[in-house]
Amino acid sequence: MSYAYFFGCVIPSRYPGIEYAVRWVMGPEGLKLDVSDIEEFSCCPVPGIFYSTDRDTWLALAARNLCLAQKNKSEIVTVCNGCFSSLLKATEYLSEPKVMGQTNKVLSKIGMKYTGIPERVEGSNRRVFRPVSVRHFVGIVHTDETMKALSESIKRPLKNIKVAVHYGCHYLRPTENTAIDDPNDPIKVDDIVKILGAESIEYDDKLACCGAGGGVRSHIVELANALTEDKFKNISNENADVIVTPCPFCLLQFDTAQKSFTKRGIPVVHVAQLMAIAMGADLSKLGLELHNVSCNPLLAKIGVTEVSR
Amino acid sequence: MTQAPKQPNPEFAKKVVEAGGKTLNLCFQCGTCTGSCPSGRQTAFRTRKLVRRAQLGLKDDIMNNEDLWLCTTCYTCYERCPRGVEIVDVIMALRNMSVKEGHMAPQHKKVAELISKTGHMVNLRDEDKALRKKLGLAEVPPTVLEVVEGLEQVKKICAATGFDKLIEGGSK
Ligand code: SF4
Ligand code: SF4
Repeated sequence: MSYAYFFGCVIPSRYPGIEYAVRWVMGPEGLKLDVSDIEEFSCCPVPGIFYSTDRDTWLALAARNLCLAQKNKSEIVTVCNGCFSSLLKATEYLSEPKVMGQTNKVLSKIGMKYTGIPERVEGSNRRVFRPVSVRHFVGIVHTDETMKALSESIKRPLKNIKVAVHYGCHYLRPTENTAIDDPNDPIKVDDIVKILGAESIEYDDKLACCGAGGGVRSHIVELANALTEDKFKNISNENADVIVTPCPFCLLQFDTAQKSFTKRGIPVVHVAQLMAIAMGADLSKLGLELHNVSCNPLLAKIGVTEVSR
Repeated sequence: MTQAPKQPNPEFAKKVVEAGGKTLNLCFQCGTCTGSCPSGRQTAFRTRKLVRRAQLGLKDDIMNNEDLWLCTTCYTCYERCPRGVEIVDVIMALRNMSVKEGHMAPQHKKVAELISKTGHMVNLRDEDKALRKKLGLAEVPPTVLEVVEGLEQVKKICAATGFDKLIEGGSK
């Protein structure tokens, strides 16, 4: 089974350096995984605002994306907790025959039908339909084999770097459909960070929300920022050098909110960017100069040249 | 004089259940959800109260009330509820109903419109294209931003479900 990239909206238009990092890390110069592009994906669509507005439309648009992967027989690689949770939740809803029927009625207008991917049952003529598999970048990297390859490809070990990992809500919850990590004691991003040579620090309320989800950031940014500030205090108490997250939406929130409550910002990067730095990617391609909070102190501590802003 | 008690509206409560809040009536009002809620720490929003109001069908208290939009969908309450109430799904059902009645924040409307017109929630500006090019990425991402037929499909779906009318402010 091959993988298909699903970058969503925030990454390609606002943090394209994450897209570069993911492609580089997974591609031939990195972990050599079989990932390709499926054209024509749209917004997942964004769970907070879109599911809030109209479940049926949210589900139909998500199902359209799933149909594209179904046709290609690919597993979807999400790089954003929002895309991950939205598409995964859609597969869960679509497993109810009635909902699948209603959604397919809408999809018939564009000549598509969601069934899941057919698979022959071994030793018989029967076929079963397996829901389209929605994966998270972190889950794909965190296998024994890939982690071994990762440890062997470190060119710039992140010695003495203190990392505050922020998992983000939709990586962890709801557990009945995520379950790619221990929801109460997740380890996968911490493991990756450690393989890169950095230290993953403990801090209070590590699993708490960044504040941006559910449409709160676009609607009441003060509330979102207040929740970010709560988390930021705990992170800054432990003198973190960088906040690392597997979600571009949490990243956007941490990166833009900090100026509203602190002058001593802590840089925020996506876990794929941190991997790319350690694995020796061209730093000028990671888009780090676009981040609101300067990444230069981090790069200086790692011992590499600054990126111009 | 004390205020007259609010009148429960079982019809409305039934609609919430049908709209996706199927676990609503399992709630026994323990308050674990309120105690878990990050937004409740910053505002007067109380998750338990919202669930109670939905159970009683106190429509007017719910529909045009900012509280409904303070949930970040962090799913903490959802995980901790001892009765298995799928609280976020209850809130989403209520939000969908509220939007149908014409209550939608202008900022949310903007994002919804952007998706139904461009297929994406974030616009691709010229400066973003230039930057993508500099990084060696395709100037326009290989999504419905580039493939016109794909965007047409997104638009057809939004028309078929009545979404376009919905966000214009009318009901579906
Ligand atoms: S935690 Fe569950 S049972 Fe307790 S008040 Fe909240 S919704 Fe009701
Ligand atoms: S999901 Fe919403 S209501 Fe529940 S704890 Fe999180 S913010 Fe509060």
